[in-house]
Amino acid sequence: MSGRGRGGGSSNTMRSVANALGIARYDMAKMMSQQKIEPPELYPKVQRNPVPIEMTTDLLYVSRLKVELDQRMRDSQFFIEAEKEDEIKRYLDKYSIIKREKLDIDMSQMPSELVWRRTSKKEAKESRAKKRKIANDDSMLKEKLNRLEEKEGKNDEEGDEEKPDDDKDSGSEKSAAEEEENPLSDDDNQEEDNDYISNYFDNGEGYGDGGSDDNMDGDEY
Amino acid sequence: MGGGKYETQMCVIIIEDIFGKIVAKVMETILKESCQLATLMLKLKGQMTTVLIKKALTTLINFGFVTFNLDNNHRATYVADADQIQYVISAPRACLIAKTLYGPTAESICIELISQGRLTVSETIRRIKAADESAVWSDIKNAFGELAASHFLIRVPPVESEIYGCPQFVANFDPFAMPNAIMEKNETNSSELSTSDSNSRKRKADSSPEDADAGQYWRLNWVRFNGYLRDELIIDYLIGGESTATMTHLNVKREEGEEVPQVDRTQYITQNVAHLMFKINETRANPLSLENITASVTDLQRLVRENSLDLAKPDIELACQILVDESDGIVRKLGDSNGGLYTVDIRHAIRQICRHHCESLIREQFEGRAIRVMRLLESRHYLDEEQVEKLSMMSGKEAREMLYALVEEGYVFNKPVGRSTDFQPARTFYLYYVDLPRTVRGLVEYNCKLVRNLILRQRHERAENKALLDKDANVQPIIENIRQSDASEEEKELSIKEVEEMYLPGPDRAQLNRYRRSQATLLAAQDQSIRVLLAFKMFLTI
Repeated sequence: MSGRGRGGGSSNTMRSVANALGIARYDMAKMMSQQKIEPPELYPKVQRNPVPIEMTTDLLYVSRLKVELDQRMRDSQFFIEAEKEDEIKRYLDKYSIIKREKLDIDMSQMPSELVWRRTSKKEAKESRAKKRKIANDDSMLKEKLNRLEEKEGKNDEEGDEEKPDDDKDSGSEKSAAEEEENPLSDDDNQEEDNDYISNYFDNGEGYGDGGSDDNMDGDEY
Repeated sequence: MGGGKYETQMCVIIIEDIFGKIVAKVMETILKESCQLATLMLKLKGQMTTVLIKKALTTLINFGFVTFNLDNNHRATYVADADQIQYVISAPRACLIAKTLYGPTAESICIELISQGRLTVSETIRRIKAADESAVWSDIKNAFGELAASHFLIRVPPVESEIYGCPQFVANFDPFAMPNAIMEKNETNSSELSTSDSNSRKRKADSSPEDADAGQYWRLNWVRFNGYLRDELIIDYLIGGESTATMTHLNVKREEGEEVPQVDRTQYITQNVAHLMFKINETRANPLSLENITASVTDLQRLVRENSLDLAKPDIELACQILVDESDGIVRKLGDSNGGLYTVDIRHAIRQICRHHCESLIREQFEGRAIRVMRLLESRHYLDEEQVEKLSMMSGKEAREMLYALVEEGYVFNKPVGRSTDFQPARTFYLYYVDLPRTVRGLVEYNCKLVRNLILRQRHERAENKALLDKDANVQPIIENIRQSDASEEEKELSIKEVEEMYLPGPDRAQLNRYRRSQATLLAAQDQSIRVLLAFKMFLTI
C-alpha cells in the first residue's frame, strides 16, 4: 500500500512536471540521460569588459627587467631547495640540476646561533696551517705533535657537542662563545675546495674528526 | 605589521617565487608569529632539517625581510617585515628610476644590490665588472656616490659588539656616508698575498684578504624610492598623461643646446613647475612625511636656473596659478612673501587619489549613476534612502538598486538609527554613509589577492611553457654563432631561418610569442597594482 502510495505519488509528480514542461513523460528520461554536464567556466563573468592595459615604454622595460631579475634570483645562491630523495637514478637528472654557488653570507651581521657549518673555524684554520707547515720543516714536528694532542683533546668534546647540537633545539652557549667575529665563509670555502689536499696528506690527525671534510661536503649539498 | 590574510599570502608567494619553497615555509611561520630559533625549529620539525632552516633564516635576514632583536630572556627573536617583501615587486621600477636619473651604471648598481641583498662598495664594483667588462671603475664609484647623496642607498648599521651571541648595532651613525677607501684591483696587492700564509693558494683571482671598506654594507633605501613614487603619483594625478616621463627627463643631465620639444607651452610650463615643487622636498630626512610642501616663487626661480630650463618669472607665476585653479584644493596659495608662497597638500592629494581609484572601480563594476550616489553621500555624510532618491534625482527603484549594490561591495555602509527605544524595522532610520578608510582597507586586501593571483598565474604559464623556453634557450647560442661567423649577410639569414624552422616550427613559435606577450602583460599589471597598493597604504597612514 505504501509502495503503491509512493508509486502513485511519484508518478503524480512526474506527470505534473511533464505537464509543466510541456513534454511527454517518456521523453524526460531520454533528456536526462542525454544531458551532458559541462565543466564550469574558466573565467568568471564580469559585468563589463575590463580596460586593457596600455603598454607604455615604462611598463615594457619594467616587465623585461623583472623577468631577468627573477631568473637571476632563481639561479642565485639564495635559492634553497631540499635535496630530493629518490632511489631511482634518472638519466635526465644530470641535465635538470641547476648549478648554483654555495650559500655564502657574512655571518658577522647575524646572531651566532644561525651558523650552520659543523666544524668550527678555529679548527679548520689550525688544520690548514698544519698541513702547510709539514712540507717546510722537520723540527716543526714536535710543535705539530703537541698541537695535535691539544686538538684531539678539544676535538672530542667539541665533536660530541657539535653533532647533538645540530639536532637539539637550542644553540649552545659554548659554540657561540667560541665563534670569532670574522666571516666563516672565506676559510671554510678554502677548506672545502681542498679535497685534493685532504686526500693527499694523511698525517694521522684524522682519528677524532676523520673525514670531517667529507662530512661537510655531504652536508652542504 | 598587521596584515590581513591575503597580505600574508601575497608575501609568502612573493618569497616562494624568488627563493623557493623552503624559505617560503620559514617565512610563513615567522610572519604568522615572531619567534625564536628554538620555537621555529619546533614548528617546522618534521618538514625540513635544521641546517636548511638556518640557511633560510640567514638568507631572509640578509635581504632584510626578517630582523632580530634580543628580548628580556637574552634570546634572539626574529620578526618579519612584510613591507620589505612588498618592495620586491617594485624592484624593477626602482631600477628604472635609477637609470633615468643617473644613467645605466646606477641601474647596474641597483640590480646588483637587489639580487644580493646587501653589498659593500668594493663588492658591487667587482660584480659589475665581472658581469660587464666595459664598465669603468670611476664611473661606478661616481654613480654610487650620487645615489648615496640623494639617499637612494642607505647603509646597514655596522656591528658594534656582540651580546649573548647576538650582534649589536651602532646606534648613531651617518647612514649615507661613503667609505673613504675602496679596495683597488688585486694586481697591486698580489705581492702581499703570496707572503701571507692563509692566501698562498690563489684559488679565485679576486679573493682578497680584507677590503678597505669591509663590513660597510649598503642596501637600497626603499623608503626613499617610495617617496619618489608617491611624488610621481601625485603629479600624475594633478597633470596626467606624460607628466611622469617629463619628471625624470627633468632630472637627467642634458647636453648643451639640446632642443626641448615645445609641444604645448602651457603643458610644458605647468609640468616643470610642479616637478620643481617636489624637487624642493627631495632630500628631506623622512621622505614619507606627510607635511605640506611649501615653495616660494624665488625658490622655484633658483631651481629653474640650476636645471637650466627656459622659464621666466611670469611663466612660473602662470603655472602656479593654473595649478591652484585646477588642482581642486591640492595646491594652494598661502601668501605673497618672496613673490608668492604656494603649498602642496599631500594628505589631500593622497585622499583624492584613493577616491579616484574607488570611483573608477565603481564605474567598472556598476554604472556612472552609482558614482553620483557615492559623491552625494560623501558630501552629505548621513542620508536616508528617501533623501538619496530625492537628491540624486533617480527613481526610487534605481536609487535602491544602486545603494544596495554599493553596500554589497563595501563602498557604502549602513547605520541603523532607531526612532524609538527598540529597533523595530518599521521605526528605524537606516542611514547610509561613506567611510573611506574602511573601504580602502577592504580594497588593500583585494589588491593583495590580485597581486597573488597574478604571480600564481605567471608561475603556471612558466611551468606550462617550460619545454618551449628550454628549446628556445638552446637555439639562441646557435643563432649567435651563425651571426658571428664570417658568412655573407644572405647566407647568415638563410641559415638562421633554417635553424629556427628546425627547432621551433611555426605553431611553437606562435605559442612562444603568445607566452612572452602574456608574461609582459602580467608583469605590467603587477607593477601597476603595486603602485595602487602603495597609494592605498599611504592613505591609511594619514
